[in-house]
Amino acid sequence: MSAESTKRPLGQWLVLGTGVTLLGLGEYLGLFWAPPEMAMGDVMRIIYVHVPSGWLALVAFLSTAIFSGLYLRTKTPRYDHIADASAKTGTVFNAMSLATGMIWAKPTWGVWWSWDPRLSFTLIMFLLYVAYSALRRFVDDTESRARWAAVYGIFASVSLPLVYYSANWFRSLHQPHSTPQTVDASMKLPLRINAFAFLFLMIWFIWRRYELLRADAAHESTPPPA
Amino acid sequence: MNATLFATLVAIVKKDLLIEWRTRARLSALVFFSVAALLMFSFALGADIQTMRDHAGGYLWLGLLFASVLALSEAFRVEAENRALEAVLLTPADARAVYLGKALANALLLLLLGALLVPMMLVLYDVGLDGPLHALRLLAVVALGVFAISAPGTLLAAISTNAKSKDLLLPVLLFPLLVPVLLAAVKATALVIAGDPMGDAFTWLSLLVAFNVVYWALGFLLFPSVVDE
Amino acid sequence: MVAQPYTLLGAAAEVGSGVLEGHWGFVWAAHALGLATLLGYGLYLVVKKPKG
Repeated sequence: MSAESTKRPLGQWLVLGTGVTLLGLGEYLGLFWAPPEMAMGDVMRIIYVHVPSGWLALVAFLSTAIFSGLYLRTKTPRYDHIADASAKTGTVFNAMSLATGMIWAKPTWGVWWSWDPRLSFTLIMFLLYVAYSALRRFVDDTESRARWAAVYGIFASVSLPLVYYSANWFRSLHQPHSTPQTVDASMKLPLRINAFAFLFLMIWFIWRRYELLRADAAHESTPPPA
Repeated sequence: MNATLFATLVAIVKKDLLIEWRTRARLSALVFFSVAALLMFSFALGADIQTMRDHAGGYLWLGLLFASVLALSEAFRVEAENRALEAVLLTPADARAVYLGKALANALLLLLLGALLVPMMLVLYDVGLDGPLHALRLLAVVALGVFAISAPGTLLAAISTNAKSKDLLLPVLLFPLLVPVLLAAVKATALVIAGDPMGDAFTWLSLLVAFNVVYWALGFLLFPSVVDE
Repeated sequence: MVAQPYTLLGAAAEVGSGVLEGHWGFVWAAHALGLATLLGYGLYLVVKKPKG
């Protein structure tokens, strides 16, 4: 590892620190300060991890689509690395939103899983980005890998509006997506804080992953010592 | 669409359909495979005729989906074996026209397959149709569905043909992308077969049209990046 | 209480919800899982060494 990549930039520490602080605050407010919800009671406190992880998965995948497009336009490897890092980070958030959603579904709907449009499309989105990562592993040539992954990254983003609007478009068991307009102020605050916490953590994850990918690429392009 | 683009498109479609016709053994193997798939669904689900009738649309689309993966992975085999795609792309032909031609040829092949499978479905799953107009409506749904399969399928086949483990990679890439298409196609097919008292079919057909527009546009725009020299 | 004895997660969540009032077991499970995911992924990215 080069000296340059072992030294953490100050910005990265700031992003991580902000994310962790906000997360601590948001979790505290969500679990202890906010009142239980009228219909669902305390179980709706799952919203504070479930909804932000869902939102940020979409944001991360949107970043994959944007940087895939930028890569195809400019052929700058850096954009390919950001797209890849965003997809992998988004997959983690996506898995987290699926898992917390299942834990929420059991006490409210009585089942762990339901084949409802929102859930189905979220699962499909997860599979799409797993496939995105699989594609990268099946191509050896760096340049082809970047191009094809970018093309697939743009194709996969078709699922984003489907996930985002599915609860509203189709007759769905899932409630319409929560926005600051649809939840009470006392729930809005922890939800908002946690959403920003997840955003900062996501930026840190992508940043860190990007550095690792760049280091990998530097290693790949360096010919082995003769 | 300018004239050269259109001429290339037509030339590619003609070439692909001609190859398909000259290698009829491949085509009949594909038909055999999809019919066998339809049979296997009825064996797997037991001989309950009501279940089959209710889910006929789903079986039809599963059969078509599996067959389309086989057809698509073959789509670039001839080119890959003879490095002929590079040759086509070395000519002044527009890569986008090559894509449209290949995708259109694949869609027509799948449409032919669908047209053969629909009567099989009617017989095997005891689905009744009232008259030719009903059959035509069913065929229109099949056409919308296979065009929506072919657009991303052709592009992804071009990618997977040049990657490692191509036969494994194509369905991994394609299936999650096609689930929404499959969902809409199955719903629309079921509504056409069983009747549509609520007028829901329009929603699913619009969704299919929307997928066609998006996937064909994306394929058209992105294919040059796939085959970039 | 009719538990779902088939999955570990299900069993854990049912036990949790029995011990704690209402559905707090599910709340704790979801938050613990979420935080563990974030922490786990973060640690993985810190520990992970580039190839070579």
